[in-house]
Amino acid sequence: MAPGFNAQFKSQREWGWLLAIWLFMSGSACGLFLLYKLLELPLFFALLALGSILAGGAVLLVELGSPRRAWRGISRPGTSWLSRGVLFVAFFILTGLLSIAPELVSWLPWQRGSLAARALGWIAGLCALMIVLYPGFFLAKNRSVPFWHTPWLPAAFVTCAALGATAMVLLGSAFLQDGLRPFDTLAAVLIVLNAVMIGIYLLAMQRAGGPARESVRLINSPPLSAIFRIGVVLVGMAVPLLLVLWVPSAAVLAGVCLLAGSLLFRYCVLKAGVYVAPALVREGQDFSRLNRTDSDLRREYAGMAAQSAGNRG
Amino acid sequence: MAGNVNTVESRTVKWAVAVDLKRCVGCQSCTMTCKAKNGTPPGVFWTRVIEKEEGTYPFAYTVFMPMRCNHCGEPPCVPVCPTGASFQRTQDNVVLVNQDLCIGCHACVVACPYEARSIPENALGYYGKHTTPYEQVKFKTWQAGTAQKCDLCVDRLDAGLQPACIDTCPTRAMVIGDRNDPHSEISKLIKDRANFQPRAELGTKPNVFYLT
Repeated sequence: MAPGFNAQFKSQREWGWLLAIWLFMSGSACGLFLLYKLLELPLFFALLALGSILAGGAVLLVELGSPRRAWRGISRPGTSWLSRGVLFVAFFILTGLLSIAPELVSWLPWQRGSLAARALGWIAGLCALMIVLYPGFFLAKNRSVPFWHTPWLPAAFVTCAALGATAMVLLGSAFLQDGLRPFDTLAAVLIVLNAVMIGIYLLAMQRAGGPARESVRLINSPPLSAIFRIGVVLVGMAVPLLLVLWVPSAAVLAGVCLLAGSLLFRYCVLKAGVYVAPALVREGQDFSRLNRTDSDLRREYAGMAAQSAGNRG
Repeated sequence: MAGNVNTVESRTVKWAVAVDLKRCVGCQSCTMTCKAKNGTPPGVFWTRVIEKEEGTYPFAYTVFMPMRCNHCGEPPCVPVCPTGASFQRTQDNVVLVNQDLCIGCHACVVACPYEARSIPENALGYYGKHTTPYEQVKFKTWQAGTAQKCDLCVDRLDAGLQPACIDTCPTRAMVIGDRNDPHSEISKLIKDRANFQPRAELGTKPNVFYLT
């Protein structure tokens, strides 16, 4: 006899491709902006980062049920990671644009390399870092979905964002002639790190049991298994690793593969989210009086039969 | 009976619902009454009865469990809301949604471990675009693309009446009352009867008690 009303596991159906695209574009774009700041990459990459997050933001608006009210999303930064995320994105776009503006136009009161431009740049960098981090925290706060409610998820999202950013640099390198060869090595290191992180994450969830284990089972079952094994593992990690290590001329292809894998990983994580059973009761709950055993029922039925026979008699 | 329910006055009230699992016969009266009163869209149920088969043939039977918003003491759906659309009334623990503020981000839907929230994509009725006169009236009470959930019939509660689902239960399997009142029927039931709160280990402090 089951120990109570343990309803079947149910996958979340609220979020799918649209949110996955936002997580992918925002994470990759903000990782790229951080690389731009830290490694002093060409201006092109800052513009690519800002353009990507604007495009991702447009996709996120489509995800909302009432997109015309999206501006209200800044109302609860004290408690809501979504609200904080909206603020980080707004500040990132604003300060990011202002920090690179002197390199595009000359009539601004602050100049390239000035204290104001550098301060704006680092504020944008800080916001970019928080945009990389917040989706993991936002999802991990949901105790209703154990597959997300783990510190491994933000960690996996960070490595995934770093990988996406490196992929964008590899892609961008095709259009620049100043040589970005060291990023092949960075990409290789990040692919391995990402694979290890995803492996640890899935292993931890497998061992957690319950809905988290069910999520891992979903990832390893059709249709998600095809996306995960072919899209994330093969195309997203194995192929680009081989390319960056042994076929440097195929950096663009490696970048495309990495970006595809990065997007598909987010999609798999979202779609594999399984709710806790809403009615699961505590261990050891006494249902003996409610859930009668076979012998109880046998006695009860025998009594009913005797009473019925007595009535007939 | 309506007289059993304390009206919301100046003092803080902690509404709770006790569900006697030995009385519930799974008739779904609560489910249908809720739909009738609130005019929820197709596929959306603010209260529902799940069932589970127990025992083995020939001594198998079905047990029933009405599921609903728990109007939690620590509702996980409220802090995740980025707009403040999801809130808990200050005078009691009823969790409500201000649909004029909701942006439909689904954060609250995912955060609720009781699957008590929904965001209908459109206002189509049970017959598609051809809404019935009833649906034409009732569908004006909610907005598509925003979160909706059990409001514990606050209009009835504030008028001193019981929620419609509880009022209609033919076996009187559900009881609502103020847990802050030690003399209320629900306080006595919770004290005297074995009970459990669903998913209490998640720290939500649910206010639905299942009597076993």
